[in-house]
Amino acid sequence: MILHPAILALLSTSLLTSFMVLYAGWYGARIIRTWDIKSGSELQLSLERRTYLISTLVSYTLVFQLLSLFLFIYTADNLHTLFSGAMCAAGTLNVNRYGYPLLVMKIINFLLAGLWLIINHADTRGYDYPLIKVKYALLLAIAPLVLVELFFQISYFAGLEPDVITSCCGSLFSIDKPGIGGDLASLPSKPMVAAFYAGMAATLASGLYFYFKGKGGYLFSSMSCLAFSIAAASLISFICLYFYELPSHHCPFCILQKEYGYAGYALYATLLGGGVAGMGTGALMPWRNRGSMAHIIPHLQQRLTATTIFLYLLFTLIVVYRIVFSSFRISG
Amino acid sequence: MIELAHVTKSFNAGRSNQFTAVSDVSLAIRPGRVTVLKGPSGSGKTTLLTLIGCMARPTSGRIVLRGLRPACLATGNETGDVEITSLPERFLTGIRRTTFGFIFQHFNLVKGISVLENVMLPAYPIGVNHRVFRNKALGLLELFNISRHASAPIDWLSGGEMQRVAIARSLINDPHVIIADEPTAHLDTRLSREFMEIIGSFKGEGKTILIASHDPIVFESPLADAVVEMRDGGITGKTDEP
Repeated sequence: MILHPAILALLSTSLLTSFMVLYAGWYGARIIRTWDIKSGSELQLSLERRTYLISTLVSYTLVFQLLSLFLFIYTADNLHTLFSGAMCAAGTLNVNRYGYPLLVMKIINFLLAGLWLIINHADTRGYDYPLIKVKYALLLAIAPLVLVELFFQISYFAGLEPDVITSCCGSLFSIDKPGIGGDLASLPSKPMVAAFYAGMAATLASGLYFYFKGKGGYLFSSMSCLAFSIAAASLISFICLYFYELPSHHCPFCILQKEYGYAGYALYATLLGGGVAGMGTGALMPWRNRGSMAHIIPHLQQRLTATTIFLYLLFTLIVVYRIVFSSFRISG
Repeated sequence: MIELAHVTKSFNAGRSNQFTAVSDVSLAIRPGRVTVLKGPSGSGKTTLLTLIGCMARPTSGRIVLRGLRPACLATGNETGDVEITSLPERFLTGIRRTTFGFIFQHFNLVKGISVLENVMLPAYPIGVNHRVFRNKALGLLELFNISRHASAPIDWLSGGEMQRVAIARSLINDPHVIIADEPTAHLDTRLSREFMEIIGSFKGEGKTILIASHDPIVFESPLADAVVEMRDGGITGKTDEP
């Protein structure tokens, strides 16, 4: 194991998050089992008092969880110089078999943590605990995933040996390489370009319609999820090519480096942020007209929709700027 | 109407030094009337007032304010009822500011600032125009005949004057309910009777008044519509005029 400050920070964050989510999950199981707002029992009043404190603490923990994804990819990129053959985070993650599963778990937990924060935000604005069972049920679903992430993280960092020879991103994201990286890299560029712009345009149109008319929330949320997936695939398929100005370099990690103006961080932050806000809009739809939420969720959904539109537009603008001013052109 | 259903308040619950200050109290406080909680020291009167006034939460039981839903809890289709024991703190703050006016036994006036500023203090978080609530505070000081002390520091006032400032302060946000905890404990007989006259004027305005006191001037007053006797945290008797 390499005693790098960022690794220690990531492990500490992961341990803290796991502890908090486990504790809150245990408490959440009691809420799901025994919560009865009509009861004035000692247990009910005790649950009401404690849920506010616990959800506040979990909120802060999950904000750390969100930030830890970026710290993780920064660390993976930063450590690549220690491993023979690694040119960027792609090589560092390939040092042992836990690297990529850990990255996937971190992305899944990022999306779920963002979703939980949105639901919790709505719930704490209501005076009648309208989403209390939903948010703790979601937390119970997140808990095992956070533990899996902790396991992968400990295994990955414990297995980092500086003398390991790893693969470079050129081979990992080559169109000839079997696997997800190779499959995404070999997606046909022109149809992907069309799908990318169509996905963003559809999200923008459905978002504006929902923002102004208050209708089509599910459609907008679905479109934002679809656009998120297409944009993530497009990053590897064709967007990276314009940054590297190379027809065969599909690595999604090299754009995190200084040579490319750290553009990767802006791209990933806008895409993930927009995706979470879009998903959150859809997740709140069933409670849009219920009780105290009728005055809270529509406004919150408007803000989330505006956030998705803004972040996706920013993502698209960065991509378009690069495409227009790059000397690279996709042929055929 | 304020309804209490099986309200219990225990301190240090679950520990060896657990103390139950209010035990299984069920009570209906009718609107526009003067209700007096009567009982010896330690009978749970003050604790019950703090629970009703949203300054503490019960250990069990529910308290419902019927027809007193504040604007901060508006949903558009409300019945006017609000159950306060389940509310998160942020909503309780809004209710305390707008629904209740408090008169404390020791007045709890802020030293170092003027009489006028003390009266205006609870109105600042409401967001009303400063000039409007300043004029209102001056009007209240005029009403209680202490306007000549408006700019004086609170420390310069006598006990009776301080209480009138406390009463003026309790009215600045025009609350529906006035809660007074042992309001005559530090007053002589003349000032106590004067206080009850002021209470009579509140009653005339339709305000609900809730007083905790073991002073006969208060609980034997003809103004008291209901007298609830308390001992050891429980209700031992109640007289209620129709």
